[in-house]
Amino acid sequence: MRRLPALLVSGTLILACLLLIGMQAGSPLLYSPRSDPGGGDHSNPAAFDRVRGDRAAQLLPLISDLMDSPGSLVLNIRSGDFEYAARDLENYRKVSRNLDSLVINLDMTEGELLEFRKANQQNLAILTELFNGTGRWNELQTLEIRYRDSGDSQMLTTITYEGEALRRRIQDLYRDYLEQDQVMRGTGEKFGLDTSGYAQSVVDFREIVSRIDREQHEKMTTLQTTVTPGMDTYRLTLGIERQRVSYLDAVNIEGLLWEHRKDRPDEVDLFIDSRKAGSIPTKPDGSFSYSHLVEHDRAGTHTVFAVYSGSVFSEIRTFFVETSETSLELKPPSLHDGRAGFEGVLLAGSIPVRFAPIEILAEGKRAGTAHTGEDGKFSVDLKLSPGDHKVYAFFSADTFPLAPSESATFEIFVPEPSPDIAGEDGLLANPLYGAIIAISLCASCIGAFLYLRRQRPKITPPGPVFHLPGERAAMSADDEELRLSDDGGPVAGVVQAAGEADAVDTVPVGDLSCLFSALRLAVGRHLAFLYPLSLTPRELCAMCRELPIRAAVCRFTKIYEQAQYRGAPVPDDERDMIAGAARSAIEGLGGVDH
Amino acid sequence: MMKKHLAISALAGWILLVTGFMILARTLDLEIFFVLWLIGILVIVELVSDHAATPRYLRYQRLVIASGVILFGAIVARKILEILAR
Repeated sequence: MRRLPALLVSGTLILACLLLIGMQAGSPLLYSPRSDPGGGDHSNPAAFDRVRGDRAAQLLPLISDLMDSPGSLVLNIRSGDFEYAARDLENYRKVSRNLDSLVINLDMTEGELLEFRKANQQNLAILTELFNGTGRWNELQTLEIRYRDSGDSQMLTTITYEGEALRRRIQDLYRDYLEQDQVMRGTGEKFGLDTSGYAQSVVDFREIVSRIDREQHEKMTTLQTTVTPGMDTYRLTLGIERQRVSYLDAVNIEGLLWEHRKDRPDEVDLFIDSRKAGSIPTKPDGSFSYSHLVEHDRAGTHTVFAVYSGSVFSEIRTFFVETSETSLELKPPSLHDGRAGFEGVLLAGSIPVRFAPIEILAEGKRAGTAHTGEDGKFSVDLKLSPGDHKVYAFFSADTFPLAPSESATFEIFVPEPSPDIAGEDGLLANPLYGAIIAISLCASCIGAFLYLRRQRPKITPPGPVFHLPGERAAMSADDEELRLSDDGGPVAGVVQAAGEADAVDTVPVGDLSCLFSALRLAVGRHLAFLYPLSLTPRELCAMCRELPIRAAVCRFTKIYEQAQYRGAPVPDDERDMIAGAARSAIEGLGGVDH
Repeated sequence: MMKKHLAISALAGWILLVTGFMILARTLDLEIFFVLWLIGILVIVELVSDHAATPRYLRYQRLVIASGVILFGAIVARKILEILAR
């Protein structure tokens, strides 16, 4: 009667499970952004609340740190404490990275915040270069003292010229830093943060520029009065045709070496931003010219000077590279083979920009990078995760005198890969896929086969205990428990006085089961059968069909069955017959303990 | 209570538990559900079955489990292909 409630409970539970699964399979039971993409204005309220709640708590400390970091960094640079400045710069870099990852993780698309992030990235680049530039400036100061003491005027001129390039670079950096000032301070004030640290950094930056400007001016004055005393003109002159150039313009540099040998051409080394641009052979009249293509030059002022024979220096000339606006056009992305194809072109005015890196962004995260070709065109295939994506292309490179630009944004839906992979040509086309499926299925089939064929660890059955006829069996407690009464139950392998005729004769009729058990155990042991206790009389008879004692065993089992299942007491005449059959059978086996 | 009823109840309870947690986690996934069911039935059958004899009600469970193992292999292959296709 206990089965019914158990069955009812189990059935109810199973039905409940199947119902829940069925409801989910039929129509989504629960709301989830994935299952309910909705329209264009769809949003996940739970996630939205969480993001909005966390946003202020996470953003404000970061923005505050970013407003304060430049102040400490520029102050340390100004005071010449480069060890602390390096530490400040590292901290600044770390906080900037935190902001970048936070903006991406929280999917912040507010224009103001993105502007702040861009301005901060610019500031980080500017201050990193200021740190390196001022460090180099200090090295030049040390070198100047050394060369001045040793009277090495050539090296003194070289480092003075390098200092001039550095001065102009730091001036450009200051100009760029001022351009970020409005965005940085505006954002800080909007959030009610203290911007005095950032304002002080601008002041300190200006002082650094003024100091370097002043010192460099003194150096140049000293150089002109000491190194080339009494010379109004250089022996090597230099001129630049156009002072202001832009992307892909050619800077035509012409010069004249006044003192040269007419019998053989000389070579003049030309340096742009203190880096050797090339060695230019002079013409017979001592003139030379060089055309520098503006392509990978940063926007700003660049210095040019020429050196003849390592000792004759020209004056420093400069040219200014203007920033050109760019336009980035992206064609509507195409989908093929589960990949999104992006094509477009980058132009600076009407000039294609070549070999420029183009970033493809999806939801503000970089999905891939392409490079433009000679014609300014680019194309790239990217693997995007399934779902809706807002993608656009972005160009920004410090090594180009080009303003950053981004393309129009496109919405693209990448479908889920078909679950029926086997039905697609990809499986057949790619032997790897087929191999994986085959290996996996083979392994699982082998596993299933082994599971079906496996055998449990064998438990060695207790060895049957036999006693010689006439020997008293040591009756253990277990044996007592296993021994049943006269109703014919199973008996452990203890046989009382079985084997000899006398012993068999003494077995009372009520101990028929003992006789049967003894015979069964003896036969089981003779045939090395593992579970002799499971044998029925007829099975025992069948097992002995190959043995010479078959007739005796079968006679015994037949009489035993009749006596056992008759239900009436065994007559005395049958008792002799049973004992005789048992005796002959056991004797045929050579005794129970043969 | 008989072992058979205990086994059925345990399996039903296990399935209900898995379903409940899936609902709480808002991820009802039939593949995960199948794998967890397979694990459950494997454990329960191992606990219920005897060393010397197999009850009649467990006679065909081994075939069901073997079929489940093959299906599990197919699921694993499908998952690997999905990962490779990304």
